[in-house]
Amino acid sequence: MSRMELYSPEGLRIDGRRWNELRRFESRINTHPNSCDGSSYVEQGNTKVICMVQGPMEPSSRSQADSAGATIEVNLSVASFSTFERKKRSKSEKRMVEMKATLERTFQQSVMCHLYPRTLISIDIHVLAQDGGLLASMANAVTLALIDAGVAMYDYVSCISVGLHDQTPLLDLNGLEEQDISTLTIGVIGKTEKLALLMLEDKMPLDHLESTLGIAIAATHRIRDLMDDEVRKHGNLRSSKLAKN
Amino acid sequence: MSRSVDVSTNERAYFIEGLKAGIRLNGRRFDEIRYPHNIHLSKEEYGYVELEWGKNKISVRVSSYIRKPFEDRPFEGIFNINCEINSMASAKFENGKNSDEEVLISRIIEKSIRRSNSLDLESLCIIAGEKVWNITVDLNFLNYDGNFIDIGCFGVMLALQHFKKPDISIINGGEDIIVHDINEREPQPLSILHVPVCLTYCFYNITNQQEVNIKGESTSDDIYLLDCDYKEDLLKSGSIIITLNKNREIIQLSKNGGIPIDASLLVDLALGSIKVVDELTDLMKKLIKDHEQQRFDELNLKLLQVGADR
Amino acid sequence: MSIILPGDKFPVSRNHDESIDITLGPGLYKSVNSDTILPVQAGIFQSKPIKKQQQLYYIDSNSRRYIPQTNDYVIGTIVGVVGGESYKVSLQDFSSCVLLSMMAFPNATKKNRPNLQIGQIVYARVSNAGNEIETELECIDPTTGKDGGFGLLDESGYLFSITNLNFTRELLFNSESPVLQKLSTRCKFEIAIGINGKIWIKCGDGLVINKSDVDMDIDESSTNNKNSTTNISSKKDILVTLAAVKYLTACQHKSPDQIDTVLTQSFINI
Repeated sequence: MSRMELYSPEGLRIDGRRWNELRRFESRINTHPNSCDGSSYVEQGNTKVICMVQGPMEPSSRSQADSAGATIEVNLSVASFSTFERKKRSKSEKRMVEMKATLERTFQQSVMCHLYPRTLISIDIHVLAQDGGLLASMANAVTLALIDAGVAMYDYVSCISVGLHDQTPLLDLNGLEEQDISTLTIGVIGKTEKLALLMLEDKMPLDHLESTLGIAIAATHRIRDLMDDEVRKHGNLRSSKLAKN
Repeated sequence: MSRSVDVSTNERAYFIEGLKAGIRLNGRRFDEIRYPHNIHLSKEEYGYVELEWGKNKISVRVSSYIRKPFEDRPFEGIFNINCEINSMASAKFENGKNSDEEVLISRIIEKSIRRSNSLDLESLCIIAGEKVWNITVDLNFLNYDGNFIDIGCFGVMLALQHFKKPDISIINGGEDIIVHDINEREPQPLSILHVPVCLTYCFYNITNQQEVNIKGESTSDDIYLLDCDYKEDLLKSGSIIITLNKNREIIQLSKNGGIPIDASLLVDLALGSIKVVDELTDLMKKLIKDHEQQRFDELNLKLLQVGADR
Repeated sequence: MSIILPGDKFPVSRNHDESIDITLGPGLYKSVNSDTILPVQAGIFQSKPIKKQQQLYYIDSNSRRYIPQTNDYVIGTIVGVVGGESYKVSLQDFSSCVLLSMMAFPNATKKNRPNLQIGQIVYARVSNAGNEIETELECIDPTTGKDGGFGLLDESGYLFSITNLNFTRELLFNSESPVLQKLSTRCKFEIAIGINGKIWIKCGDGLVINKSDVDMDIDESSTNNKNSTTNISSKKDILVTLAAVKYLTACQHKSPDQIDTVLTQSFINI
């Protein structure tokens, strides 16, 4: 495989970013007000994800009713046109099952599930385009959709991927970078340093872990602010429609 | 029949109070692992290992055959890990049905070993684009006592180092090959680039004040245990799997849900794991070396050696 | 004492003494049509006179799965409530649950119900076990109407499982069994044995949960000193209890003359 120059000596990456720059982050909430209780759309660079939340509602099967708290169910569907090469992806692929289980377990903890006993919160995620940082974008979309649905959460769960090129951490990898260097995806709760989600694939020297985590946590706080802005903008829009009293 | 296990409040209370007083119910220290024992490296064949780890028991078999490589990777051999978890190990696993937990176990073992390139795939190439070795590892779990991931990873790595593939000659200017019988020519070991070791830490929030933890106020109340057994695994409130090798590289990290952990704690854990990783890697090395020596002595291979030892 | 297997002949010939009545216990089956008695389980053949002119025969087999029989004493974990009338109780992992009616407690009425939480454990008697109905337990002595030792087993004791069910039967029914007597030389203990393979044991005072632990964050400084003193005695009791558990668990695979070494090994650090 031809070795692309991922990080030039001048400090520029293949898409022209510096090491500590995020990609364009766009988000919308309440995109599907009629079909579900909460919805969101997240674009991180060229990765595009739609998320829809139904619930808390009565589960269809009794096995999902947990008297201690809500059950969270994630359904992932990755569109076959989401990658450059058209490819049909099955839901039972191990990578998909792993991402689904990771998201379910992360949000089981971040949502105040004990407030909704014997209910089901069903989360549908549609991936329209993928270009790196898929898990991060999905988690961000789920957070926004859950907020839109009015489900009680402790705080935002904001996610970002970060890679390590030689000695330099590179923030928010795109698809080309992700293929070549190791990727760490983390999810942080609110503005703390608590990791709710953590996934590293491929090698990373132990001594660089701390610095990589540091930059990633700072980035998640930035993502949190960007999501917060969007939610507040939407909130203001709604409150301006209310009659003044 | 219910697949879930119900833990009584008595067991939970003893466990939590024990942790507060610094005791694990199984008598180990918090960062102490159960070391593998009853390790059986097959003498008759290459690449078969059985071992126990606590009450866990696994068998690993490595097998190989020659096939055509994938078209997009003509220079690379093919390596697969096949995890088999069924109700032989514990009634909590259902036959023929992969639960999320089972998928995660096999996925993490695969990520740690296969995706980290611990096996040099290019060395498995015989004739580019035509013939490569296909190496398959079958991992069977025979008994369950918590922490399948660590033991599975250890077993697979041990078996890969134990395995030898038949020697090959290329004839007719790269047209054909001869596969030499293992009795005719000494078979070749696999080329292993590094030895990953998985370590699973389980987290316990002993104050039962989840809100405090999630809001990120206090961290001193969290207790983490290395290599949990069956009961500890049932009571855990979160876990993290770290895969490292002796070169101080993190190969894989994953935390699937559970209570959030502090970033600084993660760094501490990773640094603290190095010691255990070294021990386990050395243990594997020693086992293989002793085994080789034994085989050498038994077959009296010294007779075949020519030239002086340097 | 002899080992008997399914397919063997029933070892007692019945012809020579017609005056003795025979009672068949577990493991033996009398076929309906003929008069022959067949062993249907593998185990040790036991015979005991129970009354004058009456002889009991049974096979003491070692099973791992517990099948409820009426009048068994069991320990169960509450796992849920069914229809607001009964508790759902688990007797063994990976088995179907049984029912414990809320009325089956001493002095229970429609208004005065027992208050058991999910996860708590009870000592109970199997009151009704059959093939066609769900098995039921009760926490009441039917002859007196009092608790008779049944009921909630509190959190000061530890619950653990024994895989060999014949070992729990041995502990419960064999008053000459040396296992518990030997244990009593090492520590003071309270024990409840369920023949479904569950044992509740508490050595010394067992586990003491002081309430101050729970709200430690409120006034940490004032309660801290008190905690450290109570914890030392409690820690010792926890260690002793765990050692006893280790001892009992190990004993199920040992012969009587090995018990002493097992005891010393288990209590090595105490």
